[in-house]
Amino acid sequence: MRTKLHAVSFLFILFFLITIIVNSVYAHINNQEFFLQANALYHEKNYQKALNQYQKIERKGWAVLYNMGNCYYMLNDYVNALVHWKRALSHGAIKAFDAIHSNCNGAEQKLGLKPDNESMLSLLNLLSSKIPLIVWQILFLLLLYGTIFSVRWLWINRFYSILTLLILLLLSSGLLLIQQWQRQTVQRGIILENVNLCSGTDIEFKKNDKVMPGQEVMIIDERQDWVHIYTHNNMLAGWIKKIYIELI
Amino acid sequence: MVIKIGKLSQINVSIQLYFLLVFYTLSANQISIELSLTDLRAHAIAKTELDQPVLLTIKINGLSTSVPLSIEGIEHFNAEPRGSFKQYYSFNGNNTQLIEHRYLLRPQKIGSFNIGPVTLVYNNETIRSNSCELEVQNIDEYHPLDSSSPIDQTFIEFFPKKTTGFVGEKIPITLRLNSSKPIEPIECLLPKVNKEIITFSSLEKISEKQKTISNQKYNCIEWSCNLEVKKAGHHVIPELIIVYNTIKHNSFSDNFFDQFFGRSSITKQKKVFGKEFTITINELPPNEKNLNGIGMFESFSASLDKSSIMQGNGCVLSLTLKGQSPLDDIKPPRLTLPTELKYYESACHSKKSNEKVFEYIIQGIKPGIWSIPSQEFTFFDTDKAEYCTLTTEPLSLTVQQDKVATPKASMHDSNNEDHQADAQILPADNSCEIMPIYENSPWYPIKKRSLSLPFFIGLCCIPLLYLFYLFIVYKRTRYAQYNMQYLKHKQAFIHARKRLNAAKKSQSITQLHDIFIELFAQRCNIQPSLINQEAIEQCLSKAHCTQALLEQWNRFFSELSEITYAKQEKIDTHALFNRAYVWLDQLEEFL
Repeated sequence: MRTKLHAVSFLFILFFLITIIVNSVYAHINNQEFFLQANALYHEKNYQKALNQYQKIERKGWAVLYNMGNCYYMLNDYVNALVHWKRALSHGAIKAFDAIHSNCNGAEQKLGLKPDNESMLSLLNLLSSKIPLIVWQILFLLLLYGTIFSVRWLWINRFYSILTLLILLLLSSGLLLIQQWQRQTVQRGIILENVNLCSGTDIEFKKNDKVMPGQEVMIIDERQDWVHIYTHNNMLAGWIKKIYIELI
Repeated sequence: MVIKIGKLSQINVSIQLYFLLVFYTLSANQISIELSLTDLRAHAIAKTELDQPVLLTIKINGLSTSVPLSIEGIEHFNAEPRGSFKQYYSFNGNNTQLIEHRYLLRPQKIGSFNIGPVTLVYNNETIRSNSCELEVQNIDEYHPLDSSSPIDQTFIEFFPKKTTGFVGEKIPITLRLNSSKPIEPIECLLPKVNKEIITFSSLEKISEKQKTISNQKYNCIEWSCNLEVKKAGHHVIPELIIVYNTIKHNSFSDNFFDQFFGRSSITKQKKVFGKEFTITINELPPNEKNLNGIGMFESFSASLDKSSIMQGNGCVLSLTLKGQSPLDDIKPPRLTLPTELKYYESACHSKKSNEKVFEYIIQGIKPGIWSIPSQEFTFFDTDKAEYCTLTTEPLSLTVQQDKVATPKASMHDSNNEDHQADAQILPADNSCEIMPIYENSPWYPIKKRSLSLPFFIGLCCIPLLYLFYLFIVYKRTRYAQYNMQYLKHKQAFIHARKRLNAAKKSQSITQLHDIFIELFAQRCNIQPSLINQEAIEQCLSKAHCTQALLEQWNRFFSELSEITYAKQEKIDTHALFNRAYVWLDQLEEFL
């Protein structure tokens, strides 16, 4: 009796595992199929259909998000194009970094936004985003270990210039690491419509400062259906309703 | 003699008291009426303005029952009773009371009036009060400082630019705070009104200057705000209150600390009240057009930053509106554009106070030369009391075909009009503007590899801990270097015992001499080469060692020297080491 029970439970578990495996394999094949179909539709310039196919993919990787951004751009929806490209970047599209950067600049120009390429912060952003976080971490650790373990020897032998160089490298890599880390941890969003900022979570607190569609903002706080945002390029801060922002 | 003077003075005092009692008893029975005119803050006044409240106070003294009064000279005033107060007191067996009646008078006529006397009849006797003179002036002539009271040196002027307006019109209101002394306004409490009908915009400070009113210099702070009424009719805007601090220089605290901690001046919080005013609001006449604003606007013009753009690109269209009315709340007007052009609202800004610029981004969807028609701004002119429309000049915009567009598409555009409609629906082919799609990259998400924050911090801490260890070692070495002498002196006996144990273990009795030499050298801070029997004796004498003990020590030390420097055949090493231990203990007590 007991052996029978064991056998039944074993069969049940086996069946359960097989079902899961089959399902995941099927979903994988399906998603792969959608991706290929969408790519083909894109080449046929059937952008709306391509977009529909991309949207069917359940767990979207950076390539899907990037391609969706391209579809939106072709359909003249520049705001959504920006949202998807920046989402792709935050999903680790380091390979497509240059492509995304160039595309975003184009879309921002179309929306009448000034591309923020000149500021020191944007240059740092650009530099830190091109390299994965793990590389920055390892580089920083290597520099830290190298500096600390050789500091005594360098000091005694009076290699002050090498020591200074090492310290400078350590500091700059730390700065870039923090920048990259901040990019990954701080919630950001893209403005969907031309809206006035409010000084509080009510329309009565409306200010004269405006945010433009397509503008990338940092989310500082969130309350009910309002978000507190900060814009890097023109240093504005204020509250807007969640419906006017798409999180990246 | 002293006693007599005392008695005399006692009699004098009692006579005086008696007369006083009689006088007060008589006076307590005497009825008197007093009439006074004051403003609402109980300051006596002789002048007022039309419809301004004046407080008439009648004080009846020495009357035990209430009697009807007749007040003369209040025919030209709107009088409202403001209550009566009674105060009872008993004096010399008589119960009397002080009765105070208050009336609020509002002058209805300009002129000089004599208020009073107040008459009452009691026990067939007619009692009359004094009378007061009051001059009523028009609003323009009136000034609170003209009054006899010198205290009224801060006042508010709160008035609208016009007293009639239209529903939705923004009526500018000026608020002026005048003060002859330096004051610091803290808070302005706007009139309490029904916010659904009457709304005030926030106050904006316009100027702060000195002004001369009635030959007196005033600090005049001026603000402005807009009043908007959403319902037709007569509306009374109640009084406004400003809370301010009076600043008085404290002449006793001129030192630095008092000035630094802000005690160089004494401040006192006060309130000043404005006057209420009435405003008449008329309904707007019916209108079919889309209304953009209410007020007085002068011009409406349009301009483009570029006359030619590439297909799919944008340019900025600026609409400039000029007018005397407040422009802050004017919303961007809707544009009428050909379908080939698309627009997005961009920004609104004001370079001048009477000018507002609305910016739009115009995107060229289709190539060609397109005309931007005249844009309209319809408003209700409150001066003319009619609807007016301002229009802009039409503009022309050339949308150039994108160089990367396919020749096939351009053929469609130029030759076939039917296909033009399709081209409008289909998006412009701008695939060359962006990078191609990624086809070979994985569609699924790839987990980003990175060290977790605690692990990373842990790794960062290892070299820092190593640095800390190095620092500790360095510090210890430095400490030892600087304090070697002291340490040796302190640990001399411990060191000697250690050496003695080692010598006992190796049965090396020749080391005993060296051990004691080193011990004395360390404890007495003398170089080991200079240590001899004499030096040791001096050391022990200084340490108050007895003569007997000193002799014993000399014998023991001579024995040790002999053992070390001369060969001896039979020595009880065990006994010698024991004696060395005993001597170590004994020396520890002295040195």
